[in-house]
Amino acid sequence: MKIPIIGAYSTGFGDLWDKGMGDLLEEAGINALKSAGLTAKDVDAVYTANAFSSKISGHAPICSLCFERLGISSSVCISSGDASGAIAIKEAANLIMSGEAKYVLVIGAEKSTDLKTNEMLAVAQDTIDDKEELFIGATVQSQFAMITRKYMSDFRLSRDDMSFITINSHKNGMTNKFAQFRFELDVNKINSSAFIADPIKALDCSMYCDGASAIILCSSGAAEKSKRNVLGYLLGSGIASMPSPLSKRKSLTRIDSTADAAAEAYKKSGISPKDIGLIESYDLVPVSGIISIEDMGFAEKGKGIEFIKKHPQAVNQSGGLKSCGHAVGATGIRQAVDIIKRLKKNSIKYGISNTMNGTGSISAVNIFGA
Amino acid sequence: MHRKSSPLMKRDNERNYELARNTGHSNNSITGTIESFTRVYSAPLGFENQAPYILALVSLGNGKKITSQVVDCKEVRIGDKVEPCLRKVYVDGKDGLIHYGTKFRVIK
Amino acid sequence: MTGIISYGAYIPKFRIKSEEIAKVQGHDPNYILKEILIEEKSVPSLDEDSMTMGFEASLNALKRVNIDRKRIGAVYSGSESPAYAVKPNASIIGEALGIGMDYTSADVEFACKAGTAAMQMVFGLSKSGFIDCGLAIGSDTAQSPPGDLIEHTSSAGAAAILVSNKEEEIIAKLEGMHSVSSDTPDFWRRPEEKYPQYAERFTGAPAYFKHVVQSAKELMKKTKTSPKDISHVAFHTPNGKFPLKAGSMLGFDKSQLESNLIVSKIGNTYSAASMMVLTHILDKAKEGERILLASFGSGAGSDAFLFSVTKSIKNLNKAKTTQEYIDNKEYISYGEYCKLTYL
Repeated sequence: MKIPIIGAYSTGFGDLWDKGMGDLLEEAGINALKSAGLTAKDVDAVYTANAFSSKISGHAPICSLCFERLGISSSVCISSGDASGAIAIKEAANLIMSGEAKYVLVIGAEKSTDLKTNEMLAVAQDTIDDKEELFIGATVQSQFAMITRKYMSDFRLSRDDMSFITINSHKNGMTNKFAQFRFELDVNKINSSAFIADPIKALDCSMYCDGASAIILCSSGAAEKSKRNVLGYLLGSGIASMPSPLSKRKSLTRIDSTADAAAEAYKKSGISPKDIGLIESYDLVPVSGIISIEDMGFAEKGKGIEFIKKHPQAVNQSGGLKSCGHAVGATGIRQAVDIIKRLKKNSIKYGISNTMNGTGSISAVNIFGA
Repeated sequence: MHRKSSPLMKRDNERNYELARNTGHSNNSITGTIESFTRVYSAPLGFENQAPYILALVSLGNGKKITSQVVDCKEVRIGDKVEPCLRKVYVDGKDGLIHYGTKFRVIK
Repeated sequence: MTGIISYGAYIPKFRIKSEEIAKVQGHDPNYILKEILIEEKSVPSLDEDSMTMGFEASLNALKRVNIDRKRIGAVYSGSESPAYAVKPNASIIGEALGIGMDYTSADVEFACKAGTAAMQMVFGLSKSGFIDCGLAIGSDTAQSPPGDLIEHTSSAGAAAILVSNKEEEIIAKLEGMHSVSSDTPDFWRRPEEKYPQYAERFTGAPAYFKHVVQSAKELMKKTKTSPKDISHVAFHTPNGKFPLKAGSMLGFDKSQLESNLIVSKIGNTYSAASMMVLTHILDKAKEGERILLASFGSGAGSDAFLFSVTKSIKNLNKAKTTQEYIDNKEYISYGEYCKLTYL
């Protein structure tokens, strides 16, 4: 598998008060097309990724917005919570590989700030198990908190130990002008914030925000023929599921879906962890970012933080979800844009990204090459 | 619109009642052990007035586990033994149904 | 014949001291203690209600005996604070207990005697042979407005009585019942109102004492017994003073009445109150002893029962006693009480 990526664009992430969903889709779409030297007429299909539009604005068919603002008629919306963006990339790739399309635009977008913070938090709880967990008052954060406590107990780590991933993400994010939070954090600042669900504190958690990201995939034939400027390649994709409620999982500290999705991506690409120089891990909260790295095969269980300490620039060089902000449906695509941009810049050959829905009910892993 | 419809609630009745109905009985009472826990401060919709409350992942033996609240105590630890009890989980506003479910108490 | 085959109680964990309420509300704590003999009362958690407590008490009753739950042919739940105005606690409890669908049930209301009215229904169905086993529950989360004197006494708790007509199972045989009823407006609550209204001193002589004394007197006449034949007496306990005074009016002495004083430590549990004095008595009663119970419900009425304890009381399994529930407590401040009660 080697699918050329010939266009990429990300809006800044943050509180984009003046931009509605249509504006975000238009900005990301038009600019991605521009970067590829294409117009909307050239595109065979658009795959959009969005998690919560129907709850946020009561407006569901993002596809209609795409048609209205970009004029692209063949349109699919992928809605799989936090993993929407990464899954949309795989689906677009499938369309290309089937021969059905030459150029596919993939746009992820979210308008989190159209709701108040606690309203958006409430909407985000859709991504965890409803019968058992949501029913009893659990949240994504509370479930990750229980995972964190188990992780800390099993591997004898303190909150401050785990904070390294957060501090590192923020440090990296300082140089990313597209990131929402560009300031340094230290353990004192993090610890002075209020508990969300202990041991997770407010400054441990990524913020839901607005943003849109887009990439354009094309068939290798089309890339050659038109001598398009290739920005990078999609080399492998994996999607896998695991039981949503923690109570049905074999281990609290292993996200099996990430491991399985990564295995599929490694198999399809023929690449293994030791080849990879850039990682966008899913740092919604510290433990998810750390476990994400372990389950993608970069460190043994319990040694994720050590890995990050050894390779601070390799992990979430963009600033990750923590510093960039989490524009839910867009994040998986933002990770793709950030990786291919930085592979080139740092002369690194391969990069990998991971997002998971909720607490890992579904994980998506994509591998990119320069 | 109410949060959970009547048919949905009726289908969940057995699941919500079965754990607590033998508590304390010698032959078939269920007990559990706390595998992990958290104290929820930032609660989801409808649970705000209960916060902070303790959630735990409880191991019931036979590979069965459940995420539930632990009540009647200020603190818990990993490894604490607990027993199920029936409590209100969620009241659907002024005019909706009262959702009861299984929570846990620490056994001394 | 019919009688009690098991019993159970439940009291929530939290307590608030009367002097804590008095401090905030500007009442004289000595008055409360001296005049009505109340030290502290139970407070339910946010996630408890009359149904969950009734369920707990019923579980305790089932724990003391080894019966097939499907034998229960009736569940009656008495409360003035049922979970719903329309949808009975009784069948939620029945379903939660897993007794099947083949039983009759209803919620009963008669102020603080709703639970004993439920007992009479179950005794009647059992003695007539219409049912095998029956469950009667009294359970309340009593409400009172902040600053009112009844804020010191309105508490929460539940008691459950399991009944059958099988002689070998009966631990306390029903020797007789007598009830009185009247239209007496001493204490009431309109449907849309959160708190009850009460007629102060009128709740005494023309209400509580008139009805309790009459039902107990008539019952003793009916069963040809007198105070000396009775070991334990359970009255309704709106406070510590009333049951002691009613007892003395009827000729009982302090030792026969002492069980009523659990009210000093838990407050007035309304529909559970007299039934919980009974469960406390049953925890220590011996074969051959007689128990007189006379409840009181405002509005008004009183149900009186005479029981004689059998040898089967020794065969009960262990379960949490009423005293254990009284002693298992955690004090809260008035602020915490407000969060649990008023917000």
